[in-house]
Amino acid sequence: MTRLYLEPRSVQAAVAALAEHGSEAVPVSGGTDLVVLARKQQAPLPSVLVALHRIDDLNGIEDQPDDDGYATAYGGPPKVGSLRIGAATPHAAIEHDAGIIERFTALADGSALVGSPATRHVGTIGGNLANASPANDTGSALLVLGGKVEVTDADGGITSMGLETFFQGPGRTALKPGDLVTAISLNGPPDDGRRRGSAYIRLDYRRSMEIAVVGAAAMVTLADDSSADGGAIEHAALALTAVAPTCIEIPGIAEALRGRDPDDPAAWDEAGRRAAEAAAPIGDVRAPAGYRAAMIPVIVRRAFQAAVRRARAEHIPAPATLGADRP
Amino acid sequence: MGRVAAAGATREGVEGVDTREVGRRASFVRADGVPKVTGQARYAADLRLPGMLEARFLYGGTPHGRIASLDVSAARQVPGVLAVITQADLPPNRYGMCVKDRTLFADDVVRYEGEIVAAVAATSREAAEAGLAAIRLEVEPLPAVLDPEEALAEGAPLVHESWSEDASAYEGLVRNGNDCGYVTVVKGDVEAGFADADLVVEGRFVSDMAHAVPIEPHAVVADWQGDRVTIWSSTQVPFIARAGVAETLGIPEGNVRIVVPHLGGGFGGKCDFHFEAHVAALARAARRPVRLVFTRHEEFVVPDKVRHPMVMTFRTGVRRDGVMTASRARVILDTGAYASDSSMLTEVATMMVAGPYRTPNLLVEGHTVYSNKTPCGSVRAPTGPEGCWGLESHIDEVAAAVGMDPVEFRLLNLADEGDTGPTGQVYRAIGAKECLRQAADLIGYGDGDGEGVGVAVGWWFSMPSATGAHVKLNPDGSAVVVTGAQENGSGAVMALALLVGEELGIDPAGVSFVHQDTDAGPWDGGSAGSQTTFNVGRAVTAAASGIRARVLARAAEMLEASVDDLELVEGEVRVKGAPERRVTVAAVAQAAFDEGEQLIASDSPPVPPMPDNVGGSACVGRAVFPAFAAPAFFAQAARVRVDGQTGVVRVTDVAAAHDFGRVLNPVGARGQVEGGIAMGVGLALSEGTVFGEGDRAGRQSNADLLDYKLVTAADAPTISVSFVERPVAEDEGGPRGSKGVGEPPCVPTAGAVANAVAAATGVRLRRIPMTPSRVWAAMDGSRGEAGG
Repeated sequence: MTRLYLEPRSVQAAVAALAEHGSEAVPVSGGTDLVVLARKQQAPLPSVLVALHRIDDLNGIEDQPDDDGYATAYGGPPKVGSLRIGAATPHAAIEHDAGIIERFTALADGSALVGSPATRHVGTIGGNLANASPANDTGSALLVLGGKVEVTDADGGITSMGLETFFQGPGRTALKPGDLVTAISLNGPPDDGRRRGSAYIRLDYRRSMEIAVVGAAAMVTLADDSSADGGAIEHAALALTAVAPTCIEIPGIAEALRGRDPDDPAAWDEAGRRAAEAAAPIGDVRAPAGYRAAMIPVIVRRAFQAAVRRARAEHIPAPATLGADRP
Repeated sequence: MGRVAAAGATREGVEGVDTREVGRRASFVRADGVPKVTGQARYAADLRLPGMLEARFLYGGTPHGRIASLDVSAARQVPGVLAVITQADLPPNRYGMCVKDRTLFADDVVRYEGEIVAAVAATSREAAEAGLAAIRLEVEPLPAVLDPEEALAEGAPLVHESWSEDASAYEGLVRNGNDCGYVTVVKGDVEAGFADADLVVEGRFVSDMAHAVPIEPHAVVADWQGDRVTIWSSTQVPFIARAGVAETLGIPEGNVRIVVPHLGGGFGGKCDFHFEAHVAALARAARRPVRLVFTRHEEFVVPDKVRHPMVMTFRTGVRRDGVMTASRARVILDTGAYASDSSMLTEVATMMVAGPYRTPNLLVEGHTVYSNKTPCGSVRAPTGPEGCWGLESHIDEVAAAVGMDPVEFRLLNLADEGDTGPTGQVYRAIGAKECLRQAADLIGYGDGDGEGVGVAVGWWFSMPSATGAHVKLNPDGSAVVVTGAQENGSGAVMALALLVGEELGIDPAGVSFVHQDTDAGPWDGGSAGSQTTFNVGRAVTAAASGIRARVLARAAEMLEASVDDLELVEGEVRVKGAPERRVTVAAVAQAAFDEGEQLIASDSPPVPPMPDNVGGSACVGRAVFPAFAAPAFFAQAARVRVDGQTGVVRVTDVAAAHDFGRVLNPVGARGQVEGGIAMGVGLALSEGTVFGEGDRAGRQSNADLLDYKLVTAADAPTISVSFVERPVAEDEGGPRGSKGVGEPPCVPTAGAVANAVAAATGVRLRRIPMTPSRVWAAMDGSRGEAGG
């Protein structure tokens, strides 16, 4: 059997290669899913590999002019500190990026939890999303942060979509043949002085090389920037990992939590209840269904608590998970 | 540095130890360390021979079935395929360490999912896979035996329908139905002991299958030259592998040479004979060198060295004052589809569940049970961690029943010098109690109320075995050791340089090795049973001492001094008290060479005897371990933090105190303790095979490193170590009164962690691993379903 391995130097050449070879061709970046699944004989290695690592435009995190054309997680312009993350940017760059740590902390949490340091140096955010595992560690963070996936098609046309559209099912996305994920866009928060924080918490059996059994990303905006504790909840968002066919955002969270006291456990219980209702956890080799279901409210509460502490300017290094299991 | 200094410091004041030796041992760096961490080391899978083919195996894929048809003719036509073999192509020779119950390839019946049915050699791995896909195999399902207790029941389906009369590989094997090794320990009068008791406590404990998981998978390369085959293999036991190849292929042992390049760990998973003959047979059929490298999935499913699922029941009689009067225990080892070395390991298991206690009246029964699962056998301290966990969990419950502190209770009941072991051996000076005191001190036992701290004690054997070594002292003052010993990664062979260096008065860095090659070194039992330093250490010391005598004699002439006035240190022979009168060892060796004398020596010292007064007439089935030779005693204490909402347990600290007799290489011994504890934490909390249900019953569901959860470096606890040195008599132990070191450290950890979890939560888990969902379920009895 012969295999074709291509190393295009531009996005244009990459999408052309994908178009030329049709369904035979698969883009490869870090290869941490593609190669591992092939070795485990779960998915054969494709006959045409289009490698992305030599396309400079795909690797890196850059400031982006604020674009009000995107709906945002926060509501209301103007916004500051928007970022564009090239699809082939490795997790190691994301978890250590100052802008991401400052404004999109839940994403830093997610990237910092992927595999091991070695995995994070080769595994990329574009691959993580395009692989569309229900257990992927960046999808829920991007859902609550309002991240958009930028897709370049065979003709060079660029479209942008939210993760709720991008994820279609386990291993399935909205990508059409020839499409390439080229970037992730994150709109910065409004320049209104509000205190905001986000966190992604994962239930970890061990402290490294772990995969999500239950994960939750939470984002909160506190209403009163003049009070010491930031005041009541003005806005909140919640997404879950590994308890449904895709990462899912929980509906109705903003409405349910608006005006609530962030130190009132009942508020987080309410979020946990809604999360449990929206989730469809399965039992598998990693956890019985009953245990997974019972962990949803626990992890949701921890995610919100970490997000609130960060909103109050408490420093919780990424990944927040490693401190969250200490009672 | 602090750690090394601390380890060295424990040796201060030990009689007869040169302080210069202590310093040298404490700073010893093994010779294979740098090549391994820099990637220069070559492993079996790295080898490439001209024309070499790739091998792949076809597996039965089902727990139990009869082969209805097997047709490989289409596979032979696949481009690139140069050989396809099945049992039909080989002599019908059976093999097995305890029971000769298997053939290289399935013979009519498939007994577990990883049963090898056929093998293909082809010009590429993909061509070999295409060859496998072209084999037509039909297997008619048979009722599968999956539960070890049901396997023992009357009328259970038999995994092996008929045993030929000569199937037992050794005398004394007691068998019945699916039981391929029934063993007892009888001491005193157990009924009378129960009559003396004020209270009787019972308990039942179950451990899941667990795996060795060396980082290097099994890899074999075979190359024929005429009638002789050279096999490079990732084996821990080259000489046993050589015997297996000869037995199964029906060729003389002398025609087989096994060479082990660097071995990437084994932990028992590469003990015994495995796939060398399959690959040799392929290479012979293809007339080309052939290489086999396992996938990680194959590593979990195929080899017959996996930790046994065990079922243990205990019944212990105790007086109100805390003295145990009687113990009755039963242990079942699920050996899977083949007996492997399990029948003799059941003897070890009975000693584990009897424990290092002085209990005067004992009745322990052990069963070795066939089932349709991956065969089990030796993995580092086989049956030790599981047996110790069951017993030590039970002992905490017995202590609680009489209202005693677990440490006090153990100190009251632990064995000491002069006490009698389970099978009648009388203990010499042993450090069992002192180990417990030191482990408790190191962890700060009793310092905090209600904290999650637990202890466990245990014991393990040394394994006397035939040994031998050649040593040569070169004219430049360097030395070479030629040994059959196998370096498994523990550093045991590398550290033989310390013993040779000390004997010859030269820097251990100047000692190199020709080893793990069956054509070079004397026979050796391999990296198994913690035996390398214990046995080979005696051999290299004896051989080197022969050269030492000749060096001293020649130096005495050169220095015009009496041999008795000489010392051999730092590469020189010196006249004691007159350090200016000296000659280098190299100069002595060169002088000898110039006169035509080469300083070479060989030795094969006698095997230390087993303890006497053992194996009373009432003990059945004790063929291999009638007692524990030069036993090591130990205690560990663990501190845990339990997440009450998720059931996640973190082990924060482990304190370990071990009586290894005299410690020869403190850096190496400490490394073994730290690694053993990491392995033990995994067995306690996360390492266990999950079997499928329905169509996948009897098949492993987590046969990969994502879902079989080893402990990572980030999970490792803070470890403190203390050595309690109770040297063994010279003729009963290893060199200088040492005992085996490699296996004991992983034995007590799971028990200590379990007792710590019980202390932290107030709940006793009766199954390992204590996964988060099991702990979570146990903390609330209403959560039954999630307990798994």
